[in-house]
Amino acid sequence: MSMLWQGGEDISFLNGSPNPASVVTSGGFRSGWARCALAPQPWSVGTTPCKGNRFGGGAITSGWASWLANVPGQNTFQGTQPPSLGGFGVFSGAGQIFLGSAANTELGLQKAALYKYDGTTFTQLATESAASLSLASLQRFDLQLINFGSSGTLNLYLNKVLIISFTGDLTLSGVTGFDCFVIGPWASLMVYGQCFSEVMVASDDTRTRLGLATLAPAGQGTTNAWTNDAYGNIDGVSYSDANPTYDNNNGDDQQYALNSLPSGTWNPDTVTIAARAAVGSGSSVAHLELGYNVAGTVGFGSGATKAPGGSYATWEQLDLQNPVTVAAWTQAQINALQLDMRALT
Amino acid sequence: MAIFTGDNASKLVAFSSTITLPELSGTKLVSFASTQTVGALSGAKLVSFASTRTMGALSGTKILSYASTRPLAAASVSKTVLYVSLRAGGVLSPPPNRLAGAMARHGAVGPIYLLDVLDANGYSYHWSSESIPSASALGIAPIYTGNPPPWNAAHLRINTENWDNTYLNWLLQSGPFRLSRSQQSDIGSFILQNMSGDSLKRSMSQLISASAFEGALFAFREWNLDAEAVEFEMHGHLTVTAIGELAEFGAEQLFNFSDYQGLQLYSETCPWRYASAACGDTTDNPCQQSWQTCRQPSRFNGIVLTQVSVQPEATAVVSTRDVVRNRQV
Repeated sequence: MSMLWQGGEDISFLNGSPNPASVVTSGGFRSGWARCALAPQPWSVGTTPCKGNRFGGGAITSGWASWLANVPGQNTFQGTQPPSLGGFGVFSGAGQIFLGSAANTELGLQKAALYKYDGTTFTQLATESAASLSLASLQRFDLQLINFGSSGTLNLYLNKVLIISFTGDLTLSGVTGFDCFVIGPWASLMVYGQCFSEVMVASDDTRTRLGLATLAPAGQGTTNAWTNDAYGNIDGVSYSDANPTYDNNNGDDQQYALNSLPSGTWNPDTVTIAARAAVGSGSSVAHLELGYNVAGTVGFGSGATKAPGGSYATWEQLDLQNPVTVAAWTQAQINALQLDMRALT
Repeated sequence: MAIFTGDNASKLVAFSSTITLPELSGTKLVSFASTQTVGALSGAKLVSFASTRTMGALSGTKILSYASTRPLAAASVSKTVLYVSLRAGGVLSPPPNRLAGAMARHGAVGPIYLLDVLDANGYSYHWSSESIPSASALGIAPIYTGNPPPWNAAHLRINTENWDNTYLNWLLQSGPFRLSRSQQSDIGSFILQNMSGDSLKRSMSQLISASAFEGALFAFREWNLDAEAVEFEMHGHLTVTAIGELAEFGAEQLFNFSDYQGLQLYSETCPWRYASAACGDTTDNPCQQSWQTCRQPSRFNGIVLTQVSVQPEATAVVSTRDVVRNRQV
C-alpha cells in the first residue's frame, strides 16, 4: 500500500491538448507547498483533458486520488458536458471517472457529482444532496475507487469529509483500469482563477498525507560535471527546452541543492524526481540516471536508469524509500538532500 | 563535439533573438555547404548542411541564436523538480534514546509503579510499589501535589514539606488496564494494602472514610528507574470498589459519556461543591451538604423533608461511594 504517482507542475501534465498553464496567482495554490497551480485550458473544439503522466506501476482498479482545486464559479458545462474537476483516467483512451458539478444551475454548480465517461456519453453516477462546493476557493478532494467494475464503489471526500458514497456499475467500454490522473477541460469562462495542484495517487488512503511539497533546484550541488549547469537553467516554473544543462560523458554527475520543505514537522512519505530530458542522436551517452546525494553518498533507486529519446519528455523516478539508507525518508534527509543526475552510456 | 547532429541535410532552422552558444567557441562543428556570412544567419533561414566545414568566425563572437528545441547530442535536462508527499510528523514522539535503550536491555532495573491521587478536598496521596522516602532523589516529580490529609498528623507524621516527595509502598497491584481508542472508556484497577493501622481502624479505611476518593483525580505511571523516564502513564478518576484487608479502587478515564445523566436527581443532599459559584458561600466554613448546615439557603439545591425516617441503629451505614462531599475531618 503506497504512493503510485504524484505531480503538481507542468512537466507532469503535458499529455493533453492544449497543455495546462502554470498559474502563480496567490490563492490558487498553497504557497510554501507548491510554486504554482495548473489551469486546464478552456474548452474548445479539439480540446482534450489534461492528463498526468502514466502511473509507473500500471493501471489500477482500486486506489485513491487526492488533489487541491479551485472549483469553477460559472458556466461550467459545455453544452451537456460537465467539467471534469479531477478523477481517474485512461492515458491512451478517453475513459474516465471524475468529479464534476451536478447541474448547470447556480445551485447545481455547488453540488458535487460523480460521472463516468466512455468517450461518447457522460453518465452521472451520484450527486450530493447538500451543496458543499465553495466556488472559486481552494479545496481538497480525495476520491477513493474500490473494485472498478460492475459493482464498484466511489467515495468522495471534500476537505477529508465524506460527501458522496456510490456503489454501482462503473464499467466503461474497453476500459479495464485507470493509469493516469485526469482533469478538465473546463469551459472558457472558468479558466480564470480556476486551477489545481498537489496531485497524489496512492493505493492506500491519501487522506493520511497532508499534502505534496514541490522542491525545485535552488543551487548547484557538491558535484557539478555537466555543462551549462547553472540551476537557473532548469528551475523554471514553466518549462523551457531552450537552454538545458547537458553532458555527454559516461558517469558524469550533476547535483543540485533544493529549496525547503514547508515549515513544520513532517514524516516524508514518497519522493518523486520529475525531469524533462532528452538524449540527442549521435550522443556518446544513452541513458540518464535520476537519484540523490544523501549526506555525501550518491544513491539511485530501483529503475532509476532512464532511456530518453531524441524528443524532450518527462521522466519520473518514484522512491518510497531513501535508496541510500534503504529505509523510510526522514525530514532531516530531505532538508539536506541534493538531486543527482548521471549521464550513462 | 557536434551540437546539431543529423543535420547534414537541408534543415529549416529558426533563429530568433541572439543568445550565446559558448560550446561553439573553439570547437568547430556546424558546417555549411555554401559560404555564408555569420550575420546573414539571423532570422529564419534555410541552411543547408553538407560536408563538414569549420566556422572559425564563430569562435569568441556570440552570434548564433536559435528558437528550436532540438536536443543536443548529449543527455539534456531542461527542467527538474522533486515532489515529496508529507505526512504529519511529531504527533507520536519517539521515546528518548535513554529510555529506549533501557527498555531494550535484558536484566536492567525493573520499573516501579507510581500512583498520585488528588481528592476533592485538595489532599494529595502518593503510593508506589516500593517505598520512596525522597522521590526527587530518584528523579521523580509528583504529578499532583496538595496538602497532607489530617490523618497524617495523627499517624505517619510526615513533614508537610516532604509529603508530596514521599511515596508510601502501599500499592500492591496495578491493573489490569483496558485501553480503548474509541468512545469506550479506558479503565483499570488498583489494589492497596489495608493492613496497617491501629487497633481501632486500618489506615486505608480511615482515609477512605475521612476523605473523598470517589471521583478523586489519579495519575498512574510505570516508571523506569534506569532511564528516569515514564514508560506508561494513565490519568483519570477513582472509584472505591472494595475495602477489606485490601483496598480496591477502580480507575476510569476522565471523560465518560455513560456517566452523564439526562435527568437531575434531587435529594436531601445539596449537590453543589462547597464554595463553588453555584454554592456561592464565601465564609470558608464547609457545610455538610444539608439544609441544616447550609449558609446560602436561597441556593440550596436539595429538597427539604419535614418527615424524618429513623433507621435502626444496626443498619446505619456510612456511604463511601454515592456522594462526593466536602467533609470536615
